[in-house]
Amino acid sequence: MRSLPSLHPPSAAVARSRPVAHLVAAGRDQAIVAGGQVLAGIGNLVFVALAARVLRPGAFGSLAAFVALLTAVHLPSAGLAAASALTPAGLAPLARRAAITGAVASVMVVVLASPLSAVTGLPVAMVLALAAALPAAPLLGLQRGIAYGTGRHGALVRSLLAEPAARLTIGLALATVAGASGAAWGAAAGGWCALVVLRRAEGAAAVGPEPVASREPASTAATGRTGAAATGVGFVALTVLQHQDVVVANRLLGPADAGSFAALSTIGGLVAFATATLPLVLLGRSGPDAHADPADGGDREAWQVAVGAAVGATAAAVLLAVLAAPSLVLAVVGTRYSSVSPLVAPYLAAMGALGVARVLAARRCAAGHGRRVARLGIVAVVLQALALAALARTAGQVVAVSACTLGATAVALAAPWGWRQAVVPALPRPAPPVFAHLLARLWRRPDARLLAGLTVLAVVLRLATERSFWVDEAISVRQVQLPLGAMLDDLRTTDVHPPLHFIVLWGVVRLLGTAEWAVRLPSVLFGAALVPCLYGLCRELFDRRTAQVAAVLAVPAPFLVWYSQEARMYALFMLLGVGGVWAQVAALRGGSRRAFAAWSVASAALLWTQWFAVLPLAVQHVATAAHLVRRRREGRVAWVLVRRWLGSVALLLALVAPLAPYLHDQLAAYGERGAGLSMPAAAGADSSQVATGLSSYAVIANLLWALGGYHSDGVMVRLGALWPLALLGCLALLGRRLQWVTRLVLAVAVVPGAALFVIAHSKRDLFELRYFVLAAPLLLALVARAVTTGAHGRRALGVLTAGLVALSTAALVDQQVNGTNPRLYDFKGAVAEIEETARPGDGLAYAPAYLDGVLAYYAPEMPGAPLGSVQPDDVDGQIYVVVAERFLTEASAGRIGDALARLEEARGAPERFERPNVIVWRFR
Amino acid sequence: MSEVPLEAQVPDQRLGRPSWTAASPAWPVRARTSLVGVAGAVAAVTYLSWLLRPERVGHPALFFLLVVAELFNVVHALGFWWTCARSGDRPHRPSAGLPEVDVLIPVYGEPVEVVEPTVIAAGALRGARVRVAVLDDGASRDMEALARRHGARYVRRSVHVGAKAGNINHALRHVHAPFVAVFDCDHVPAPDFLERTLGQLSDPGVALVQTPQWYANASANEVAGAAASQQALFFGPIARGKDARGAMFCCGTNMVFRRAALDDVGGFPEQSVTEDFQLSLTLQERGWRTAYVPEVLAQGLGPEDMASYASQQQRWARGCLSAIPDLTRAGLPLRHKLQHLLSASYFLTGWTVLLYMALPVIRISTGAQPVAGAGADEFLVHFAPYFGLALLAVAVAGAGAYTWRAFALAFASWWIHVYATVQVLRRRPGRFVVTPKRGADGLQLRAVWPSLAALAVLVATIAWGLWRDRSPGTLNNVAFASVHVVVLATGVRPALRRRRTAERASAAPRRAAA
Repeated sequence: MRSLPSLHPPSAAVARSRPVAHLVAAGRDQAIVAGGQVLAGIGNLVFVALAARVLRPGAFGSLAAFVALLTAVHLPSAGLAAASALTPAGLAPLARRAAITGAVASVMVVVLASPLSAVTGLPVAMVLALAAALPAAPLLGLQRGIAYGTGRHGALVRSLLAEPAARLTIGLALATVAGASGAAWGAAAGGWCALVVLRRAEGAAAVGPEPVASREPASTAATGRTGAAATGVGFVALTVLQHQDVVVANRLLGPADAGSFAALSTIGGLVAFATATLPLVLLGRSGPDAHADPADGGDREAWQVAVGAAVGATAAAVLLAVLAAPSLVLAVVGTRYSSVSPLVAPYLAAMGALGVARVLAARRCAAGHGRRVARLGIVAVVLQALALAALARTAGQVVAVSACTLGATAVALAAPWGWRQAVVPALPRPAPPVFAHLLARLWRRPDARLLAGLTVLAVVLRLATERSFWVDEAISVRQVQLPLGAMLDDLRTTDVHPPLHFIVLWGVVRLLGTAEWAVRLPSVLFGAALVPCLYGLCRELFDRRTAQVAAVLAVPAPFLVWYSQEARMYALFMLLGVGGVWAQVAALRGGSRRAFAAWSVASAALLWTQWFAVLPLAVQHVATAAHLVRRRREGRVAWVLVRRWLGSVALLLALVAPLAPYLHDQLAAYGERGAGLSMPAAAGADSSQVATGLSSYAVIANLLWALGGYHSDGVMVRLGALWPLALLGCLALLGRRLQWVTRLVLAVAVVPGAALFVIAHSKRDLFELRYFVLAAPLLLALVARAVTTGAHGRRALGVLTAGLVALSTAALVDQQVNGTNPRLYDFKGAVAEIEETARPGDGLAYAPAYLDGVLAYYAPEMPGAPLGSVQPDDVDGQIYVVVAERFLTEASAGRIGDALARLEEARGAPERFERPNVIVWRFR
Repeated sequence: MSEVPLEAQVPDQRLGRPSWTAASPAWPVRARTSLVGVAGAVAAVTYLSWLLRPERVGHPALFFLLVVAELFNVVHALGFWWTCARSGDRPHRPSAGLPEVDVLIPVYGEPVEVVEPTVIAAGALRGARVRVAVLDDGASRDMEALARRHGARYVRRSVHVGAKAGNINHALRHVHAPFVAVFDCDHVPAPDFLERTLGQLSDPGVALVQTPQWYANASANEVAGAAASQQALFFGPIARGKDARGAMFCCGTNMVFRRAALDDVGGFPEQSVTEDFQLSLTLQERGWRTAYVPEVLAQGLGPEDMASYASQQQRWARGCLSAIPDLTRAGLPLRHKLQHLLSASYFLTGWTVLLYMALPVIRISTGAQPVAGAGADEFLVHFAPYFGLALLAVAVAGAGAYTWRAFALAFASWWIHVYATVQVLRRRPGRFVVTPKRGADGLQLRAVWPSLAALAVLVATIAWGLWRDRSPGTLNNVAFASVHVVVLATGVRPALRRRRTAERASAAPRRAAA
């Protein structure tokens, strides 16, 4: 609550001395807290140093890993501290909820202690210590934030000091008895001690006289919990920015570079640590619930002090690095990392920029721009991650990326433009919890329940499959099991796709393993999310009725279901593509920055998923240009629309720029491998007799696949023969004026395929629906539109929709269970049948050679080799020959025949059995 | 002239603003039309060059018929593109002074409430000194009272020969103004009709100024709407194109003549059921020119049921087809001849429809097919661009006016063209049947029985084909037959359902409360 104006104007002398007094007061607060922070840091450093002497090396390594995990656990607490520093009165009631959250997390960790122990490599006792620390983490963040917000700096400092004190006492004592686990329990106890100190101080403050420097905060003009939540998110993002580079570097760099960067990070972390409290103290003085007595100074002086301190600390650190980097490195990390000396100054500057960014973020949040800070922070995290993944190969490159990202973040926060005065809503009494409020609002939206039900149904439908992995999926599974850096290198040199989906899969595999359901889960979720996304698109393009029909049709749509069950990028591509078109239309209609930004982000993600995204994106931007020209011709030009479009293009280019070297490497590797890949380029072109050549039937086949899914060749030929029915569609369009949004969707759906049809005259493999897969959901949207405009009356609409759903369902059933579907490869079933008769000593021979991945997945214990390299005497036991017939060429079929003949001559006539598209011979 | 204001007397949908304009669209549309036309011409030539090869001959007779039909359609498509390639609006020419104009309204048994707004509006025409004459071949006392009520002249003849042409010629003997305007009794002219048209007659070589026919009941009735859509295609890009080439012809209503030109050719020809078309040929042979003003300056009532529509189409088909011999002999410039031949021969398209419907039936039932030596996909690759561009040309040139229902109605009228051709070849005299201005309420199976029979044959063939064999070849022909079934069914649907109350209420002109 701001102070009331004084009844008696101050004298001139008093007025002149006020700014100075304010500065002193603000500086005093900052100094007290920063001092406590530094002392706490020193205390923690001493604990680590003493633990290193007490514990064995392996145990000390475990303790270091535990401390890193503990830091990660406290990461959200940083955001909670910032949020509660901003609105201590608003968030104080959340203590109980925070405690429950921490307790629930703790219980989950206890329950999952064994698997977590396996994953982290820590003993179960340490995992349990982590569980013990969890309940305190959110409470500690909340209480510290409240302390910042209410100006209880003394209690704050005591709390800061309590933590290393507990570690040094309890931790070291337990370490001598129980080793690393004991030290870990001591570290966990440190958090609880800090919390207890704060709670006791809060209780004493309530009993004793009210301190002059604080008063009961009012909440009439507070930013509200939403703003506080956004503040928290923003500060979490900034904390992630601080630590992300060392985590990614550890994955991507070689051991030497990773170690060098870890050393740099340790040094740089000192600056970040030293400036960590500046924004929190500032929030307490500047936020709407500012505690300070007007005589102690308003927020302007506090801001000056904070930013001055941040800049000063940075400048001092950089100066020190410039003057004495080798000595600094020697003092902190020893002689082994002396080579990083040239990088110390830039990295300290980067960390200093982070400190300044935090102060600026606090200032913005206090002014009510918490949401923007949160968005900016998330964007910065994503950009930094992408840039590191794409560019970072040495410690110097990591420093460069971090410096650029952190510097840009600070500049963005400091820039005067774009930060309009936010409208600060009053805090509702009583205010519901933020997420529950959002959920309630979402649930009340029209069709929310329908969409929820359809999405759940879509998930269930997409999970219901027994389909075996096919070759591409097995390749993906092999790739994502590599370390992240190795995976990216493997993709760069052997694959032809951008890395986004693989990165997602990499994370999923780390969490859930490599079971079929786990590896396919992202596609299932992306595919199910396409249902509400398609609803949203049609709602934006047309009307609610069309959106409903589109959502209903999307659930059983065979093509959509198929790629929701495949561990490849196609489901993600469709989801991002539909979202991009939605954002584009919203942007062109409403002109909002958010819509343009969403379009750019979706487009960038699309390109990060598959290179062929360049085709629909080109169509979208050409269409946008045409739309703007038409508006100008009609006298409806809006230059702000043009500017924002150009801005969105710039953002898109910035987001995809890191892909340039990646693409270059892939193209170079592709060229070195010669024309075509050794992998089956397209199941459709090679596996189906319908679409082998570039003919009108190939076009019809792809169209039928998009609308009706994959079926046997016989079914496809018969369906293709019905092409005259398409004449009715052309005739039905007579007299209808297509809206520009309809033309846009049609163009984005059709033009990429048409372009690939033309290009495919020189490279046949390229004309394959998977490379213009966005056509499928967009055509579905147009079908929904045709249904709602063609059906007159609700009954006709219902009948027509029900008929299409029935047709789709029948097509889906045929696609899923018809064994003659050329895309259904039952390697799993073949291996299962092999394992029924297999004995130790048996071996696998397969053709083509790239079946190795999928067979290794299903039969990891059975040795295998390409058929061409297997001699009858190579295997003592039985030889199982597995052949995927549709992948064979005429030449290779001949060679396989020869190999089989040799085996038969040596071992006698084989038994043979077949699974869908897989033949197995068993030679005894 | 009546003293009661028009709007207060009889509020009528024909008095409102027309919902369509015949004016030339903006240049991008014209440019697109030309582009599509050029592309379509290339596609047509490609298709024909693929088709007309010895190795394509399947069943010889069927192949011959198919080639004739395809050539016919290609010629018409090329003609359409040629006609629509030039499309510009005549600059408006204001008329000088207040000339005298005789406004003739032929009547033959139409209801008074249909005719009255026309008479009132004719009397209110601006820009000239008008004398309205009601030419009643029905000898109705109510009509006489109507004429007197509104100060119009009532003309009745004792000898009824020549139908509408004879009626007008009879009236011409009793009127003497230098200009003559003719309106069908249901076409209500706008007050500025003469102001917008007389100026074109300041050119002494112009004999006739024609304006579009538009149906005010288009939105209220399915048949009228489809018929109006067909009219919009003709009176839009086609009429504009003909006018640009000096080949526009008289369409029977909403027109102004130079009296001297009518006298020069002896009035309206009474031996044809399409006297307007015949009159145009005669005028142009005599060196007179025609003009077309693409503004909807009068609104009438389109046929509201299938029987009315069929009657109207029969008359037009008979008249135009019977004019073909005269056309070929007429002393006209070649481009005029070709333009008129295109219009007249349009009424032969029903034969091509009959053939296209028959081919899948023949293939499914006997196995014979016209084209051999090529797969269905090859046929698709060559046929689809031509077909698609032809449709696109209609859509673009018509600026969206030509609708699916209009197409279906025209398709379902195939038998009218066939019947008319047979009657013309047998030299059976046609009767001038006035198109009813009010639709009938009940089912009209007789008006569509040939199409119903065709539907039955097609459906039976489809069922037989699917039951016997589902090979790709059979399915392909089943699909073609299905397309014909859908189009025919859409075209005949209005005859198979009773008109709704709303349609009847909105279609009938309403009388104001006295």
